[in-house]
Parts: sequence; C-alpha cells; structure tokens
Amino acid sequence: MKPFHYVIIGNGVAANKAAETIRHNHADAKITLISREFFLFYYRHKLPLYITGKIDETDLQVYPVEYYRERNIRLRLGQIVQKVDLHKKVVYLKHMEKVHYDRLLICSGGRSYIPEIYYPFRSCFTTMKRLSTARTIREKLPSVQSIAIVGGDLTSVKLAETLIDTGREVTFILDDYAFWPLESASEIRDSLENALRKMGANVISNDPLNMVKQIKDDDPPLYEIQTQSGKTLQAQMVGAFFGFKPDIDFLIRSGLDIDRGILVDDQLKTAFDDVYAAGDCAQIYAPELKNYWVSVGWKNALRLGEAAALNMVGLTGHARKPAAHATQYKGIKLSTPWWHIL
Amino acid sequence: MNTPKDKPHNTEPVLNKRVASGLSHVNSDGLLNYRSHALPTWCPGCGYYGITHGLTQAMNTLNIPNENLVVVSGIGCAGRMPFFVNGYGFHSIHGRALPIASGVKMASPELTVLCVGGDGDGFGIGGGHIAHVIRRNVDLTYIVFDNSIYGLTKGQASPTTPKGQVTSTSPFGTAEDPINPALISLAYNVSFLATGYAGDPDILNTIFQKALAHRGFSMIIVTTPCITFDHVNVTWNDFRDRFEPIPSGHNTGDIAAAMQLAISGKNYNGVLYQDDRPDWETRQKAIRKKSSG
Amino acid sequence: MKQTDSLVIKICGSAGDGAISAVEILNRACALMGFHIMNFDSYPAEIRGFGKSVGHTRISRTPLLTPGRYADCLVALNDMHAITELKRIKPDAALVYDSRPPDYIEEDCAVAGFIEPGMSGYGVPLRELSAQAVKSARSRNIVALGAIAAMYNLDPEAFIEAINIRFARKSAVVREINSAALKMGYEYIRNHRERPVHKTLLAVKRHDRPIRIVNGNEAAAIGALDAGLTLYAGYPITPATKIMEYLAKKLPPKNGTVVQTEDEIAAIGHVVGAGYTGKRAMTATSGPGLCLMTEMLNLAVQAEIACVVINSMRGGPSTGLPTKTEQADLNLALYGGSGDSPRVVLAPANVPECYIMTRRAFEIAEAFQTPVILLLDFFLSNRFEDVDETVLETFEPGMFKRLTAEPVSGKPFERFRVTDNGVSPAAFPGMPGLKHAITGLEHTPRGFPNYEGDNHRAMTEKRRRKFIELQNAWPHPDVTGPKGQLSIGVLSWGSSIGAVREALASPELKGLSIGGCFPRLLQPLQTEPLKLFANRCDRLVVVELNSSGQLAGLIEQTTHKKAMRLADVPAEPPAVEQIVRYLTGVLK
Ligand SMILES: Cc1cc2nc3c(=O)[nH]c(=O)nc-3n(C[C@H](O)[C@H](O)[C@H](O)COP(=O)(O)OP(=O)(O)OC[C@H]3O[C@@H](n4cnc5c(N)ncnc54)[C@H](O)[C@@H]3O)c2cc1C
Ligand SMILES: Cc1ncc(C[n+]2csc(CCOP(=O)(O)OP(=O)(O)O)c2C)c(N)n1
Ligand code: SF4
Ligand SMILES: [Mg+2]
Repeated sequence: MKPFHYVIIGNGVAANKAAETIRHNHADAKITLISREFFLFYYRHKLPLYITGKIDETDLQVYPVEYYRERNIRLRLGQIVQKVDLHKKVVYLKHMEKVHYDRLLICSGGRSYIPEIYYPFRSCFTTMKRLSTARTIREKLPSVQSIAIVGGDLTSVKLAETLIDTGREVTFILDDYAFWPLESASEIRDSLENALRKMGANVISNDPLNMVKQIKDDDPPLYEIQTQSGKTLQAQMVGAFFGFKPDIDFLIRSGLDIDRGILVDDQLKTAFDDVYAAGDCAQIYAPELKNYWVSVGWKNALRLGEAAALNMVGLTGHARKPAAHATQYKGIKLSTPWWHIL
Repeated sequence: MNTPKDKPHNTEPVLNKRVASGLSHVNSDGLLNYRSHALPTWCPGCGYYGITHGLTQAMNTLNIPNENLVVVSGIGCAGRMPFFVNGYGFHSIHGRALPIASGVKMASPELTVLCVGGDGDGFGIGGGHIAHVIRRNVDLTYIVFDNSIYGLTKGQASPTTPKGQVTSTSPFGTAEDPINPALISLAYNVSFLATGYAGDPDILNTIFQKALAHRGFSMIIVTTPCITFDHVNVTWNDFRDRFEPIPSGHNTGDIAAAMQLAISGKNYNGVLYQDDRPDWETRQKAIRKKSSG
Repeated sequence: MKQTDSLVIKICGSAGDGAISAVEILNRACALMGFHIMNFDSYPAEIRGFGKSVGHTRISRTPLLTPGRYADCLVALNDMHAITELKRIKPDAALVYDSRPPDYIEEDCAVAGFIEPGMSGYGVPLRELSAQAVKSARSRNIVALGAIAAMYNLDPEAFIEAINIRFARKSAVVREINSAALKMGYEYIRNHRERPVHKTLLAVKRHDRPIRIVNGNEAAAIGALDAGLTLYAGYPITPATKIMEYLAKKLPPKNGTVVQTEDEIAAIGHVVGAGYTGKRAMTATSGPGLCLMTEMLNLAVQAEIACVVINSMRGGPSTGLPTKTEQADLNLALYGGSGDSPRVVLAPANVPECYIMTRRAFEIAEAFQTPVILLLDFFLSNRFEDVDETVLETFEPGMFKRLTAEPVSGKPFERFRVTDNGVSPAAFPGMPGLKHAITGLEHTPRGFPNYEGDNHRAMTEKRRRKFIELQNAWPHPDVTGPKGQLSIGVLSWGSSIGAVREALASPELKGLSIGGCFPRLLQPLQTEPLKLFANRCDRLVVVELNSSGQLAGLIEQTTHKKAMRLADVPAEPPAVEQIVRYLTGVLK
C-alpha cells in the first residue's frame, strides 16, 4: 500500500513547523516539502547580517540536512510549483514532474512587494526576500558605497544599521508604504525617522519617489533618483522595501478563493477538503471578528503551521489572531500583533 | 500515533475497465497458468514471444501439471525461457542443455522435460550432442529457436546464417554455407521432427501438443526473427507468407519423403516425420528385465 | 568558481539515446584539445534494445590511472536511468536534464526532482533544441555536449572537429546539423545562465602528436596484428568478442584468417594446429571459454606448442556476471589443467600495455614453446585511453627469439631434446630432414610415447626449466614509494594497479611510509625481486578483484610472509576511495 502523502509547498517556518508536527503525529506517512529556493530552511531575519558579511550561510541554516533524513522528510529544493490541480490532487512542478498528494498544505509565504506606481522602475530595484538575492547583494556590496532605500519597511531597518556599521552611506526615502507591516503607520513615523537619523542615515520624508533610472552600467552601476519635489540624488544600489505580499500566483485558476491571501477558515482549511494554507500566504477567518486577517511574521507563521498540521493529521488546531504587543526596536516604539523583533 | 480520522489512507487502484475485462479474459483462458511472474527480457518484437504463446497454449490444452514440468536451456536469448515459465527451470551453460535434460529425464521419467535453446546453442557449440540424444531417443521435447543469429552476444553469425550475410564477425559476409538442421536431424534418424514459424503461434500450439504427446525425442525447429540483429534474412517481412502447411498426402512415417520436404527449400508448418520406436525408458525397462531375468 | 585537474562526466540514457556516442565525441574533442582521457562505459545487459547505458569518461591534464568513480557532471538523456546513477555523483555535481520534456513526468520519475543542496541543476530544453537543429530529438546527446562545453569552458570548435571525425562517413548535412545542435546547447547555457561555468578544467597545451583512442581489446588486437598474426580462431563471448570483431575486419586484408568456430574447444584446437605449423595464432575468450580450453591448453603444454590466449575476465563462476569486471580467473590461468602444466601468464595494467604485452606474448610463446595466457578483464577490455601512436611505434621486437633446429645428417631429430635451459630447437611441417611426430602422451626426446618414470621426470623438469630464462629476462616489477623500510607494501595486478597507484598518490596517503609493487609477469613469478620488496615491508597488502585473494596466496607462497587481503568483488573496477580507507585503517 502506498503511504499517505502530505505535500507541503514551502520550506519556510510555517512549512517546517507543519512537517515536524505531522511527523510527530503520523509516523509512517510520506512527507514532502517543496521549495523554489535551493537552500535548506534558514532564518530570513538574519539576511541583513549575512549581506554585510557579519555571518555566513551556515549561520543562517536552521536545521542540517540530517534533520530531514532522520525524520524521513523528502526535501524538494530548487523546485518550483507551477500549478496545482486540486481535483486530481496533483502538484505540477516547473521541471515537468507531477507530485500526487493525499493532503496539501500551502506555505508559500510572501514575496517582495513593489507598489504599482513604482513598477516601471523595478529593474533598478534590489529586493531582499530570498537568500539567493541576498547572495548576489553580498557579492556586489564590496564595491558599493552609497545605497538608497525606498519605502523602508521594518526589514530594512536592520539592513540599514549593518550597512552604516560597515561604513556605507545610506539614504532613506520614506513614504506611505514605509511602515509595513504595521497597521497604523503614523504612530511610529517620527520615532522611526529619529532612529534612522541617529543611526547615521540620511532621511528624506514627505517627499516620495518620483523616478529612478540607471545612468551607468558599470561595476558598481550608478542610479539617479528623483523625488516628487524634484530633488535628485545618486546611489550605487537602490533597495526597494515595501514589505511582502502573498506569493500565490501559481494558484490562479486553481479554484481556491483568493483575496489578499489564500482564504482559509480558522482551522486553516480552504474550500477544498485536504487543502490547507498557513503562514504569510494565508488570509484567515476570525469568527470573533467575522472577518479575515492576513498573517505576517515569523512567530505567527510558526503557530499557523502547527495548527494547520494538527488539523491535517486529524487532531484540532485553531488559528488565533494574535493580540498586539508593545516592543521597542532601536528606539522605535512598536505596538504590533505581527512582528517580533528577532 | 494518530492517523487521519475521516479520510481513508489510500484507495485501491481502480483499473481501467477495458484493461480489467481484458485481464479477466486472459486469466480465464488459462494461458497465464504457464507463465511465471517474470516479464520476458527479450526485445519488444522478438519472435520468441510468439513461440512462448504457442507453447503456453499447448501446455494449457494438455493440462500438464506445473510441478512436473522441467524446462532446461542453454545460454542465449532463447536460453532465458525457463525464467518465464511457471514450472521447474534449469538455465545451464552454453550448448550443454541436451545432456543435462537427458540426465533429468533418465533419473525421473515421470517428469515432462522440455529443452530449449537458440540455433547457436543447439547447432553450434552444442551440435555434437544432437546425434547422441537422438540415438538414445530420450523422451524430451527440444525446441530450437532458430533466428539464424547469435542474439545474446549481439549479432554474430550462427550455423544457420545464410552464406554471405554480414554480421559483426563476418564484416565481408560469411564464408560458410548454412546447415540444414531438419535434414541433419532426419539423417541422424530422429523419431519426431517438426518445423514451424514464430509468427503462427496457433499452429505452433498444435505442433507442440503433438511433440509433447510423442514418446521419445521430439525436435521442433522454429524459425523466428531476431528483430534487433538481423534486418536482412530471417525477418517478419521475409517470412510472413512463406510458411505453408505440410502437403496433403505426405506420409509422416516415410523418412525419405520427410527428407524430400527438408530439402525442398520450402518452409513447412507441421510435423515432417514421426515414428514410434521405443524411447530410452522403454529400452531401459527391457534391459532391466534382461539383466534381472 | 572551482578549478580542477580532472573531470568525470557521465552521460546516461537508454539504448538508442546516444549516450555512448556522445562520450565518444567528447573523448575525441578532449584529446584534440590536448587532454588525457579514460573512458569506461557500462551497459548492464547483454541484450540490446533495453536498459540503461552509461557513458563515463574522465578528462584530465595529466595522465590518468583510473576513470574515477563519482561524476562531476551527470547528463540525463533518460530520467529513470539517470536517477539510478545519482549515487555515483559528487556532492557538488552538476546535473544536465531536459527542462522541457513533451509532457509531465510521474512523481519521482524526473531526475531534476532529486537535485540536492550543493548540486547544480542545468536545465536545458534538450529535445526542443535538438528538434530545432536536426528536426528530431535524436541529437539531444549533441545538444548536451554543447552544454558541457559551456559548463567547463571547453573549446566548442574542438567538439565540432570531433563531430566531423565521428560522422566522417556520413553526409555533410549530418555533420552540419549536429554541429548546429552542439552550438545550440553551448549558446543556451551561455545565454540563459547567470553563471554558466560549473568548474574550470585547468588548461593544457594543444599538441599535434597522433592520438588514438583505443580500448584494451583493440590495443590487444592491434598488437596481435602488428605481431604478424596468421590465424585467429574464436567463439563469441563477452567481453572478448570485440577482439574477434576487430580482427575479422582487419586480419583478412593482411592475408590472415579469422574463423568463428563452433565452440571454444574448437577455437583453441585451431590455434594449436596453426601453432604446430609454426604460424602465429591466437584466440580470445572469457572464463567459461577458458574452462573449455583447459584440456587443449594441456596438450599445448605437453606437446610444447606456441599459442596465445587472451582471457578477458568477467564476474563470477559459470556464466556469472557477463558484463561486469573481476579478476578471479588468476588461479584458472595459473593452474587450470591436469598434471604439472606450466604456462606463462601475463597481466597488462593499462591499454598501452595490452598492445605491448600481446606483441611480446607471441615472442614468448615461440621462444619458450608454450601457451601464453594474457589476463585482461571487462574493465581493461572496454576502457578507452588516449594512446600516443609514437609510443606504440617504439616497440622493439626481438626480446625473445625462437630457436629453430637445423637438420644434422645421420642423426635422428630430437624435437624434445633435453637441454640445459629446457628449450629444444623446434621444427615445423614442411621443413625437410626434421620430420617427427608429437603427442599429448608423455614422450621421449624424439617424441615417442613413453611411460617410464625417469623420462617423465626429465621431461617434466625440462618443461619447467624453460621459464627460468624468461623469469630473468623480463623487467622487474614496478616498485614505487620511499626507499628503505616501509610500514605497508601494497601489491596488485592487472587493471587494479591503476587504482592502487592513484590511492598511493592521494593526499591522504602521500608521503606516508607506504610503497607499491606491481608485477606483470604472474607465471613464472619473479621471486627474487618480490622477496626483496616483501623484506622491506612491515606488512603486505594485496589488492585485487576476487574474494579469495588469489594473488595474495601466491605472494604468501613465494615470500613466506603473511599478506593482508583487500580482495573484493564489487562487480565494478576497484574504488580508489576504498583502497585509501583500507590502508588508512591498516596504518592505525
Ligand atoms: C529580511 C527579512 C527580515 C525579517 N525580519 C522579521 C522579524 O524580525 N520578525 C518577524 O516576525 N518576521 C520577520 N520577517 C518575516 C518572516 O521571515 C516571515 O513572516 C516568515 O518567514 C514567513 O514564513 P512562511 O513560512 O509563511 O513563508 P516563507 O518563509 O516566505 O517561505 C515561503 C516558502 O515557500 C516557497 N515557495 C513559494 N512559492 C513557491 C512555489 N511556487 N513553488 C515552490 N516553492 C514556493 C519558498 O521557496 C519558501 O520556501 C522578515 C523577513 C525578511 C525577508
Ligand atoms: C562457453 C561459452 N562460450 C560463449 C558464451 C557466450 N554466448 C552466450 S549466448 C551465445 C550465442 C547465442 O546464440 P543462440 O544460441 O543462437 O541464441 P539466441 O541468443 O539467438 O537466442 C554465446 C556465444 C558462453 N556463454 N559460454
Ligand atoms: S536480440 Fe534478437 S533474439 Fe535476442 S531478444 Fe532481441 S530480438 Fe530476440
Ligand atoms: Mg540464435
């Protein structure tokens, strides 16, 4: 008899917590993790330290490969899910392989978001969601002296800090998107600005980006940035930090209900039996609010991954919208249900 | 350990309906009774499948108990046969199947002993044994899979390869004339001889039934194409229409008439010769009687 | 990006996918660029039409001792077969696969699904590019070669030259479209990969010495041809058949004869008959055939007839493992036969030696009137190496010469005269005044049957004494390693010598107190140099591909020293890694 097959799309924190939970409760099932990234599960929040060379790739890794061997979890790394057929229960991979599941969990997380108005300049932007891009930045960085950061979400603060630490010139062009993933941006705007200045960054606020263009195709290249007030500046790298949005393009036409994420009930199940979603890609129903909420952040993803897995193995797990908690980061006062300073 | 509550872990594979009805048909005709679970390793399209089909039909009709069936073979593609038959099998060494099969039959006369092998195995390396098994008239059914080539070793000339054929060891064409195995066996005074064609499994079936029923050494030479290494002479195209029934009025008891057929240059589907002289075991019985009387 | 001295490339497909011919082109291209190559393909089944074939080749700037076991690059022309090869690749290997197969592949049947961290996947639309170039998927293998050229910074022009050589007898169109296919693979990698290069092979100088790419079987056959072979008689058997197939083409034009006999008994019979008339004749076989030949070889010993037998060993007793390598026929070669039955046994270590020793074997056979058995094996028979033709041309014939009798009037000819060195002057049918009869029965010097003890003793001794001269004249075994006392002395023979030498040169063992000793003449064994070596060693280790330690036993007998055995039957060439591990263990 073929073993029961759990397929998990993703190899982030939600996916890994889910795999661990499934294995704990279902010893002889087949478990497969699929990730487009070619790396073992790693701490995303440490990417800024990695980029500036403070830590190495091995320090990013959460588990060694033996962890998966011992637990008999099949890792399919560097493999991209192209589409799914939820009726036939098949996941189609880009390298043209079919994977059949008995129960599917989608933990595809988010990807760097670029607001529509800035979309024309996307080729000039460097983003930092994945280790592969971080690796490229790390390689380019030695020749880069000046960096402009547009947007400026929470992930960029740590990056700015380490960049300045290593003697680079950093200019922030803050705008309305800058405070992802906080629900209300205005409350921290000032403290953020102050904090950045204190770190030694130049800050341009209330004067959003108008245009970016590459003016030199050298090593390093050179970009010219213009704000709406007509101010121009030059930088050798332009980081775009506008937060993340669910990475679920491959689910278009799958029949799943999608709004700002994959719609799931408070047990993380989609409208399809045997199909669940958790982590940054999910939009979850909260019965007490009679509304949906989108999960963001490491700890939330971890909890959701666990809850989804419990439901998948036949036990019960509930998603709870976390309550906001107050934290401090570099003098920035935050009250957020999402972010934990890691 | 917890398993999912409400959903079955696995579902039985559901067979395609047509496949399923086809399978039940094959099952009910009994042919699978004589096939082992091993899938033949022969090239797709090899003539050996036809021979195997004819043979399983014959054994099924005669209802030979599987456990009494012994298939002895030499080495070659044909020699793989014992693995695909549901019975006892002995895949021995190149050219030496006949002596081993004789030993089996002499020691345990109650067994049905089949001996199979290629033309190289039977007429080349093992050719010397044929005369002697015929002299003894051991009750064996010997099927030669004659593809006029060394199949397993990838296409060298065999004793029945037509003269001039280019093979890997005769890049300028063979210098030798092929032997006429039917004529030779008749000259050795074989007690049963038939020839047939792998493309006619139903006719082979009737021939094999007669051979298995024959008490004594029966030899069946089956012409069969090696689709991989002979694209010239013994091919499906060449032989499709070339086999004809034994001429009506042929007396299978007349060895000279049988020899006429063997040298006619034509290809016959059927029994050329058969007589009922005593087999080895009968002779032994007489000797035993004599020795104790 | 990594730099490397040598690269192991595997191209894996089903029969008909062109894995093997791709490797042929790769070999040729690399030889043209001035690299050394060693190529050992594998096909598991004897029957064609099914099954996996793996082209395996190693490219290097320095001469190679082994083809290496683990690949730097695996090309999948057939996914299912390639999946089974994944255990034979390095952790940082590159995998070339078809990124756009015509349809989705079932779960776990796509090789790309098994790429692990550390490896690099090179997806190339092999079928599509091939279809663009040649209007069919047939040239996927050539597209893949183009990818390899880009991945390892190899000159695509050399590949095109190699394609032209390979398809020299085909039409110009075939050459052109395949060159186009090659370029497509090359360009695809260069244009679609941010980092096209996987590893860089340290460069070599191009030279224009004539290089032949031959395997052990061909080298032996060419050696026999150059020795002036008159008759080849044989019966097909893997892995020796190729020798016959080669000679069947090449010997008739030289007025020789190739006869395919009904079996090996007849084959060696023909050879003995030809030898009796003073002509050079040979047969080649493998274990089961050598078994059949033993009686006739006995006759040749007894009747003192020159004959050369190549035995290419395969695995196991009986039909065994026909397409796998092993070195387990040593005892059969040394001892097979009834009575005291001395004969010469030689084991070449590499392809050029197959040539040299086959040529030399005829001289030995004639000079000492004896059967000579050359022990090749599946690995050596089938592995291709680049051979510098100028090296072959430097072979000097005449190391050993036949002693022919002169008629002495009034005195009857003694064909088996008992002489000091045991060699009796020979005579052959057709020579006037020297008529005689020979027999397999024990005989007197004139060749008459005789069953007296004294005669038998004298004749037996004479037949053994013949070899003292050979023992002395033959070059001493290669000895490697530091001078003076050694912790370990490693011995090996035949095709395993390369792996042992590579192990001794490995970073793990280099500079340690380990030496090697590699005899080629296994009977008569050169006792003195072997004893000298053994006396310098605290421990002896014998590496060979059989389970009983056949050479080890012989070494113990001659040196009176216990020998440890790394005697294994993995059904494949010895692994350098295993030898290193074993020797490191012995040192601890
Ligand atoms: C630089 C940085 C700093 C951060 N700092 C913090 C912090 O301080 N505190 C905090 O709480 N959170 C932080 N986060 C956010 C946090 O890392 C994420 O919320 C968390 O990783 C989400 O986990 P996840 O499992 O839902 O998805 P992810 O970790 O995003 O994983 C998604 C997985 O899905 C795979 N995938 C997606 N699509 C496909 C496809 N089509 N085919 C195959 N595989 C696919 C990806 O390869 C990946 O393995 C930070 C993020 C970044 C990038
Ligand atoms: C003593 C010995 N010599 C050679 C071989 C190699 N060998 C195996 S099968 C074969 C010939 C096969 O030809 P055939 O008997 O016609 O059988 P086919 O493959 O055509 O069915 C040979 C030469 C062997 N196994 N043993
Ligand atoms: S090689 Fe010839 S005889 Fe052998 S299985 Fe294939 S087609 Fe049949
Ligand atoms: Mg045959």
